[in-house]
Amino acid sequence: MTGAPARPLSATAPALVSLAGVGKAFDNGVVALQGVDLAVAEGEFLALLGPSGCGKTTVLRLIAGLDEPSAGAIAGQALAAREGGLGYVFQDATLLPWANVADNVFLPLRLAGVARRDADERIAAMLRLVGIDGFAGALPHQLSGGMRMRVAIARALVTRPRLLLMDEPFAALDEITRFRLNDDLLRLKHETGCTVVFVTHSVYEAVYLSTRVAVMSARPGRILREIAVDLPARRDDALRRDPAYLALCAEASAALHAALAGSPA
Amino acid sequence: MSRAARAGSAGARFAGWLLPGAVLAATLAAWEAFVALSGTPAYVLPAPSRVLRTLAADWPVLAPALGVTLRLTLAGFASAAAGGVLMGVALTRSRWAELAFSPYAVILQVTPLVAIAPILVIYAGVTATVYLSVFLVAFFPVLAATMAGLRAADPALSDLFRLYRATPAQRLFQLELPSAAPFIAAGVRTAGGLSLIGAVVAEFVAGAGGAGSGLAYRIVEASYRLNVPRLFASVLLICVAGLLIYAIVSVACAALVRRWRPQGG
Repeated sequence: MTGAPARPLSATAPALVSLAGVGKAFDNGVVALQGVDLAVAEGEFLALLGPSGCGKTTVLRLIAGLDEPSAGAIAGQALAAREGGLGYVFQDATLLPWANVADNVFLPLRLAGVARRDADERIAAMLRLVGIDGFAGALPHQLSGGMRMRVAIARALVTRPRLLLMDEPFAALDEITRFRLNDDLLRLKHETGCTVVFVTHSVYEAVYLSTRVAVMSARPGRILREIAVDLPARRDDALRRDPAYLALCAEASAALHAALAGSPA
Repeated sequence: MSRAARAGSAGARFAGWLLPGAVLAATLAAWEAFVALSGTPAYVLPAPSRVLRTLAADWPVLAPALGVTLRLTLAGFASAAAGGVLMGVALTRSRWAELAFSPYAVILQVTPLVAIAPILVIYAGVTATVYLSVFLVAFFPVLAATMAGLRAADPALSDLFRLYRATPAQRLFQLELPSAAPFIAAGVRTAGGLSLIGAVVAEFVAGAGGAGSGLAYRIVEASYRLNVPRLFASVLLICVAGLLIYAIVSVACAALVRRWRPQGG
């Protein structure tokens, strides 16, 4: 089948989650995914790159268990969102508008039955980690979009997940803010050691952040191409002008164009 | 908001009190002058000063009547607010319950209270009729607002609660009810305005005199006896009572939902 990965999947690390022949058709007849094969290796930063509406979000929702596949199998889905399970960052920060920053970060622990006084230290540590200590008492509407996203990331990380799923989290932010959050996200990933699956439609963001880019086709989505990003683990703004980085961007961009070929713009 | 705009809004608030006050003063002065200059007798049109003197003189009759009306209004209003929220929660828990009961909520709302009150009087007696009438007019706005509010929770937040395996109770108290709070507050404010109307209509229809009768009965009585100054005094009293209820409910609701601001900006 033509959708088979172009490169063998990383064989060194065990797969945390794997999708085999996964398809998803919705009740309204839309086929979002067809024959998706994808393995997420422990410790990697996987970018899911694809045109809008190609089912990238659906892949994340299936991994998270928010939707069930209509075909194929997912192993590792049992990673429920609990201690050491998975964290999910949505396109918008989706904070509780009536709760302050600390209470928003506390939410996953609160839902797990953790008492507030037992969580205070960890909440403070999370706020420091994402760089918003000092705003614990602020309400979401008092924060900028970038800071709200930082709160959402702190909330996703507060349960110390092994797997962090991120659905175009920086798409709505201005470029400078996005660059800063990109760098902070890389730092967070190294500090927490979690595995990240990051959905984006930006080629540059995908290559900058990830250790592997999976390019998806237009709907019905499947994995068209996988590109290993052999760039140093320590990345900073200088990388954005690095020829190796730009060559990978060109490769991913060509794959994305191939994904769009034959579909209306 | 800029300093100038803030000063402008403070000026607008000041004008918001000053201008209606000026209109009231001018109207009362013109009314007083007209009655004095034309020699209109008080049984046709009492001057404002005469209305105030009557209010003071008839206070021993009017105050207990106002007390009766207010007690029943507040009791009915409080029951309707609590009942509307509880019923709203119940109907949104079960699709079957909603299908079974929501048509009756609509029927009760569209049937004019004046038409139902005579029936209530037969079976419930005067006092209970007033209480039930207030309940009937105040219940529906709270119920409708609660149901709309409970359904207005952000779908992404709803996914987040699902991801973290929230129990139905956690979902209700930590997501749905807080999301519904601004809606419920708006419904309660509407209900507050309607509840005094409900009480007055019921007292008009029930029309029982005696020591335990409400203010609306005093209005009917004064009208039959052509005691026009007392008629005006009673209407003034009920108008002030309505304003007070509205102000108290508005301030209370605004204080309750002060934190509920939409995200963005």
